[in-house]
Amino acid sequence: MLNMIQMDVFRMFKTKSLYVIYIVMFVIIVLTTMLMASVTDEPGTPASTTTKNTEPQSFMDGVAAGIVENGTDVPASVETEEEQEQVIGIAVNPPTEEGAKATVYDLVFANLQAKFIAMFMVIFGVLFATADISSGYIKNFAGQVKNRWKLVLSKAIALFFFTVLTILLYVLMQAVSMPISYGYLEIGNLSEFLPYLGIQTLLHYGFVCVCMAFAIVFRNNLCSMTLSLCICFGIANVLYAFMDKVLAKIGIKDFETVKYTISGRIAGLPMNPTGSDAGKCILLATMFILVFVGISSYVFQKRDV
Amino acid sequence: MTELLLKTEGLTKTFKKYHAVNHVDLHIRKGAVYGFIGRNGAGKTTFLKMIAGLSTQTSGEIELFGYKGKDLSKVRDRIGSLIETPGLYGNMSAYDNLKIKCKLFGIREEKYIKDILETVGLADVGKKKTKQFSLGMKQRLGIGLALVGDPDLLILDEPINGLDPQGIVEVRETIQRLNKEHDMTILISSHILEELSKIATDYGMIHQGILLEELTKEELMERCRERILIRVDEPKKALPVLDELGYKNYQVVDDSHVAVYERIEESEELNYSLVKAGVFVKEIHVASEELENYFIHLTGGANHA
Repeated sequence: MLNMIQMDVFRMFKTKSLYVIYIVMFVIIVLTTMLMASVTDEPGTPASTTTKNTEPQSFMDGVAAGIVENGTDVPASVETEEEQEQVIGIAVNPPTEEGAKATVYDLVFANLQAKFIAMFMVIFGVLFATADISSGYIKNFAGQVKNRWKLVLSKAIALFFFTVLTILLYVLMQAVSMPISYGYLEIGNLSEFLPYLGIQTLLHYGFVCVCMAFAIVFRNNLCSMTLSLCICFGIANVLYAFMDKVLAKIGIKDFETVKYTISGRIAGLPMNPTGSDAGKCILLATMFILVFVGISSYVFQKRDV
Repeated sequence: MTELLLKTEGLTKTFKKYHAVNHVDLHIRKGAVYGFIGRNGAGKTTFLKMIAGLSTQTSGEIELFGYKGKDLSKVRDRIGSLIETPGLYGNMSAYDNLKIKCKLFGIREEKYIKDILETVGLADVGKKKTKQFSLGMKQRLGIGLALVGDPDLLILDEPINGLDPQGIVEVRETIQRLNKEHDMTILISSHILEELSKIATDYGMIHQGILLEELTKEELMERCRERILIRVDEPKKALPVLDELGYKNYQVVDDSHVAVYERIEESEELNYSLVKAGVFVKEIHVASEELENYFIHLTGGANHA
């Protein structure tokens, strides 16, 4: 098993797309941070009028098509839970309070909850999970391992390292881009930041595992990547809303499907998560990881290469 | 009795109602180069995939190195395979492609990889990416990948398909070297019979999923070699004449044919002697058969080949 993990980790670092994704991510992070900083500097912009947006995005976002920075097009603060609309696209809303200095934590929170970083992760996750299948390299060794399902487990473990590394690199990128854009570096409250980052890492890993399962089960990069990105862009929210309405019609009222999805939890985790929030997120992420790694392992074991 | 390295009993693979491989009983001696002959779509690849552990049989049994059933997993790593086209990571070098598989086998020595590259004649390719390789180079790297872990049984599916004459010679020489110097048993499929006849020591002929015949190189040569074929009304009447003329190497083929394998140039004298002795000779001619023709006859005529 250890050899398999070493093989996959080695392969991961030899994959060109890993570096391409990191470079693109870095460039976009720098550009969006600069954009957010410029908007914040403008007097009377919504950034200066927003209240501290530490609540789940899914309860606060308006409809936004495409990537919206700083919430300028999204009057998040004026919405209530009852008036919530589902997000189509990616809306990055820093929760910086009026008159307060933006922190790295604010920016990280905004990007993570918007599933902006998750988007890069799932692209690589799908490419990585299917690279050996689509190239045919899998045929070189799949018959020689005693339990083929372990190959999926090994991929999942390699993707865990990728998730942790990506989150760490992202935070670093964000920290580097802040002085460039804002002219100062303010990390934020570490006692809140670190637990938040830990929980988000687990949730993001759960999301990557879901996308890996799509890729392995469907054996089609285009299909699985489209599906994964649809979840990232909130298109799946339409389905969740529909499910909620169906459930309401059969008598199960006030049920919110999105709360039981990994993408919903990524968007919904508040900045200062309570023990209950953390527990629910960890439980849900663990369940998703176990179920989706289990499904893909089973399918891979049973199916011909 | 020669030690059997691979034995299959009633091996069958069915896709819905189509029998791709139908009750195949195949036997491979240790140290043999087994030529697996069949036209495109005959079931060769499906059969080889089952042996290589890439596909599960619908029914029947595989016995490898004396192990069968669930115990097969104990010896799976003793098989190396190159099935269909070589599965390579195009953006990586030959060295890195080999290193990935070496990681799986826990092989750390750089020399091991270099030795394999040398064995398959790719020692000088340097860091050239495999997507820039010629088909012959890719095939040889595919063989190199199959050699990782020092397998006792090497399975090669159409390794010379699409190669130019130089490439064919290189692959042939590599296979012969592996068989002789490493005492490796090789199962090689091809529909290029002339090429196969240069390296195979045993043959199995498959057609429409059914194994038609298994025979050694000597047996095949015997059947294909030049001979005087005599059609008579009663073969037993011709035998005393042949004995009297000093013929020792002859065979009654069926109830109307006798084949004589020596003194081919004396067919006229033989005809005269037979007629003189009162044997009614309906037809006499010198016959010989190429492996290709033999296979065509076996599979039911040229229209099927």
